[in-house]
Amino acid sequence: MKRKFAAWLALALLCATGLPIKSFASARNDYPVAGGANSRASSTSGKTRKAGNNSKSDAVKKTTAKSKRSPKATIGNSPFVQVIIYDVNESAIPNFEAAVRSTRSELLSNSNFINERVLRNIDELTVQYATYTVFANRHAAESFVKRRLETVAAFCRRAPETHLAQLTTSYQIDGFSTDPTGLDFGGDVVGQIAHLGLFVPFQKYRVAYDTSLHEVKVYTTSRMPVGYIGEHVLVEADITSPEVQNPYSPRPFEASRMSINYGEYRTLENAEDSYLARDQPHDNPQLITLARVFYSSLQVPTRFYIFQVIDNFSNLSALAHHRAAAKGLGR
Amino acid sequence: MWRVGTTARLSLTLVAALMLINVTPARAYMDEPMYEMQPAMDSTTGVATIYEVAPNSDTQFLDTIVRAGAYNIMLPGFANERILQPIPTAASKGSVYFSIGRYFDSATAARMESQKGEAVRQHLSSEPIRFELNLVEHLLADWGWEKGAKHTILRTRPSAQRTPVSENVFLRKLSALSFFKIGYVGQVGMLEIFSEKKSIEQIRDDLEKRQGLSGASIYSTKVGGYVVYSEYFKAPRHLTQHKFVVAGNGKAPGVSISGGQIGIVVQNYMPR
Repeated sequence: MKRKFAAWLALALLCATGLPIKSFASARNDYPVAGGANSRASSTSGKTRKAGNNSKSDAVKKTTAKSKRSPKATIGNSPFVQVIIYDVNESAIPNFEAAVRSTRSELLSNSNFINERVLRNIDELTVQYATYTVFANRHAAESFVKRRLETVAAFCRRAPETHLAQLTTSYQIDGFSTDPTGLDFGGDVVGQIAHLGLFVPFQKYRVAYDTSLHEVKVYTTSRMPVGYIGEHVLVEADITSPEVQNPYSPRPFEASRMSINYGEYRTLENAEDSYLARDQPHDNPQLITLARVFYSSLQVPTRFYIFQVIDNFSNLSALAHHRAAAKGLGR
Repeated sequence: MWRVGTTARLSLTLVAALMLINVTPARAYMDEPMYEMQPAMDSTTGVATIYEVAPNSDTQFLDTIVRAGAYNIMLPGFANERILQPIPTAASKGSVYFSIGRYFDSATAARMESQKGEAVRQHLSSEPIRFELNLVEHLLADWGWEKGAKHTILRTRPSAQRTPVSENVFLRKLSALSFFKIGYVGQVGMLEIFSEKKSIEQIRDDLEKRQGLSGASIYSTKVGGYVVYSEYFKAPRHLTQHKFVVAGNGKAPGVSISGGQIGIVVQNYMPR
């Protein structure tokens, strides 16, 4: 009898201490819902904005921690994004912000415009901004960038760094989509933290880089980190020369397509907690291999900027048009 | 003899079953950057360098210094380098860049800094000013700045002894750790040089009052005094008034340079 009791007790203790218990409840409750009570409005227009729909692609797929499927090799009709980083004259901040706002009505009247985020470095001493502008097609994106650069030129310390890229994958708490719409997360919420990562892999190791990046993103989302809103992974539209691609930073060894990562979190603390697994064992050698594959495939050091979203607006009719066009092509 | 009743057995079974349902196996999080952040924290040898970059040579300077540095070498003795460019709002503008290199030994530090110095000389207006440093401690802030509350500062330094789990910043959420994050650029950093007249207690006190601090590394120098490298989530605006003060011909590091300057981190890398 004593042996049987000891066996039952050992089983109970094993379950209690040998395997960690994870609660998803608090993570789900803290997850910011666009348009819900968690949204904050601090836009440049000064108006409190009602958050719109956080439309998700029908192709959002549930994933498990074991999913290692790589992103699609071709990205077909995925939206294009103009990523622009601006270094603004300190004395011209109000003029710069007004200039960016002045293009808003033009964008909204463009049927190929999908969404724009206006971003400001969390430390205002840097006087650094960025915009993340999503279009249904390349032509619209290229036409826009000329107009935007002309509008802001007088207020910048130097010519903005620009990248034309195409969305490959979007990631959210409940999975990832290889058919991103550009409106995959965040609705029109403002005030959240945005990270913008710029990576330049060697072409020869592109597949290894893309695979390791995807694995990282899948595991991040499978942890359901508190305050995680969503992420986009993009690839530069063209193989770009080092000088054009990196006008103000170390030049890659060869022309390549930049890999861009745009993600949003409710707070910077949430962002840090999403990548720091303090309460987990750190003894898996495969982690080192994955990290080495990722970082070793890069030609130049990563650049990872932290911004705050100060404006965020969308054209929902463009989204409907984009989806109809994609359906017409049988996707 | 101790007999286990049916009720007890059923209770234990129920407890075990409930635990099994809610259990999630320990999961390896492949995005955790511990392996890159821990060396940045554990390295005790530092080199701070001030560069006056020639006009219109900024990009060439950055290109050269990274290519000549440890990024493209498998160098175990190197942990991290940050390079900062002038901030547009600072009192001292122009093209005074500075860098902080973190190493595990002085021989590696000397070799790499000499190699970089030779390579970038063509892009400079004057000889770089270099400080060889030994780590005293790190100060790490928590998230008070983001919550609108007064921050708490943690002091830590690498130890030869195993750090208890309860005191390990990578195992317990004791502070923010963005200060050690590799790859993060665009944040404001500051390099300050203090003579022996300033005590470490005064330096700590001053740093701890800076709301928006992310972290700071306090180093001692061979010539006496301290050098501090700090980074900020949101730097206090009064820091823009500081600038380096060069006395004499500025060729004797640690003796003829004082003051401090803020900059923007433009490069932040470990060996790839």
